Amino acid sequence: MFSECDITIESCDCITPLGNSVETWRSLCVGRGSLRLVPVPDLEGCPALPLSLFENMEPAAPPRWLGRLAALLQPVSGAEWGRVDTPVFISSSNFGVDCLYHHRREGRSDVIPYATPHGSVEAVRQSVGWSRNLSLTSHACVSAHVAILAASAALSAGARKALVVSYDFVSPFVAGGFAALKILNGALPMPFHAGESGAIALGEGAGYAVLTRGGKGLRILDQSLWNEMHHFTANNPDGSGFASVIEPMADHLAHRRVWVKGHGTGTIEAGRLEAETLAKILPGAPLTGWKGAIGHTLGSCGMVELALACRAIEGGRIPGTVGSAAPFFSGSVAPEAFDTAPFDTALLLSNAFGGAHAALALAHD
Amino acid sequence: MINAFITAVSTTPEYRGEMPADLRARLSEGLPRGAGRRMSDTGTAMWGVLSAIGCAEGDPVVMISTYAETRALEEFIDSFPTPSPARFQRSVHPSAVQQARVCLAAPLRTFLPMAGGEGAILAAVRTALSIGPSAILCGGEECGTWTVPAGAGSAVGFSFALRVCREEGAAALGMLSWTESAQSGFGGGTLADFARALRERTPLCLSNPDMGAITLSWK
Repeated sequence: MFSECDITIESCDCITPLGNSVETWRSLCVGRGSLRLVPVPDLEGCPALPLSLFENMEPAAPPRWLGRLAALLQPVSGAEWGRVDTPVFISSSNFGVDCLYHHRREGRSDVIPYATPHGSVEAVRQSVGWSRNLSLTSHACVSAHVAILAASAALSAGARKALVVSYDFVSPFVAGGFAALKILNGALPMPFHAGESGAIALGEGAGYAVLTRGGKGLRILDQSLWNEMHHFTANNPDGSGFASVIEPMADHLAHRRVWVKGHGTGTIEAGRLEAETLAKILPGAPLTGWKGAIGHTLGSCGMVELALACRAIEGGRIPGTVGSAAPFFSGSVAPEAFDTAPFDTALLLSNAFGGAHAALALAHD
Repeated sequence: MINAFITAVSTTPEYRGEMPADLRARLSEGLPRGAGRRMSDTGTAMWGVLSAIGCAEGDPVVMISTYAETRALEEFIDSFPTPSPARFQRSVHPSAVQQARVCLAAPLRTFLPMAGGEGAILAAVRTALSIGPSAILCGGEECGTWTVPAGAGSAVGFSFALRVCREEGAAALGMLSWTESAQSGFGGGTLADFARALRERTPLCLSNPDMGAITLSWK
């Protein structure tokens, strides 16, 4: 859908509670995750929830995550980023909403400067010294994909390089929201497992990617979005949304040897629709998902999992669907790590509220 | 430089507090029966302005808001310690456009929801002009209550939508341009400034040394 200019990923990295992208990738390859059952303050009658956290969720000013994010962004810090020809695209589903929550619930005024999307990003900007050409995108759990697409449009309009950053950290606000929806319910997630009930876990993560036109690095073959708008929190039961996002990429995927990193949160219906649809339209393409290890890192999941896919491609080994087990919704699901050698394309997928779907194809031949 | 022609515009008046009943009724025209009762102010307003300019599945849509779903955020936070699932759904950006589309089960292919304060409108215009040969740019705010004194919510409500096309047609109402060169003597402006210029059909130039400049002009 958006392949008008030849875009490559010059560099990328991420952090999760398992470490940087190399450390996280290595952990996933041996089936090790970071989910723990954690009691969440302020939620009446709620069991301990499966979360992957850097530290506890105590409010702080500046936010507890700021130093960690600034350290990740050191390689892309400085005033040369965020100028007219080097725009920065920052995405999150939450930005600083945890600060708004703590302001209201605990009367804290010191957290207010970080409570809006622009306040949260301004704190990041100051800590890494960027100039002011910043674009913020927020579309729940496809936020990072939207930022990559907007950055691609900026490159096609003449930008020399674009920096895409994504971050999300867990707070009672977001844990309470998903708990209210009953999909964050105390059980551990088993992505694509054909069970009777499903569950998700939430995780913390951040990542970045430097995009250029025609440079050296992994090439973005194509990108696509699709918004079902069938229901706020449910997919169309015919599964058409999962196919519609890939449909415009068919020409680019034809004759490619594809592996798929699915969204795979651990919910039953979406997991079934995703696994069954992919098995039908990309037969033989192995399907993996990593949220059973690091949790669902919300708006940053597209960027965190992109960085992990890049490390997998460089390392020649793709982590399997950690935390899950047979029976699966399709025979394509890969429970164990597998080699990259038979493949030349990674298809990376994310989903969000409103039946939002995002797809990015990464060539590695 | 990217130039695009404005071929359709719709705006709401500015309002304070809750959306006035007569405005809500006017903007709700055409909504499926019962849908309006469940919609937030921004959801209703987005339905109204998008319906007025027409929005098809294949139109790339860029949405911009500084505070997004202010009321829904406030109400969701106030629902703790027994958080409300419906309020959580409505509080998540970009719920306003989703409300306006889900009530008709009307899909969108390319939807780029953006946010931000200073410079946000420049970023949104640049994105709308570069995403394809034509696009819809929409946005707005709803009035907050306890978030407003904290500077975390909007004191004024408004919404807008416009269609921009790179090719000139007979129906062009005006022009929207982005250039990478900043224009001296002009500031970054706010989303409300942009919405006001659309509503009053007044020219506008917004500029930022790191983001370039946008120019809005009318025929």
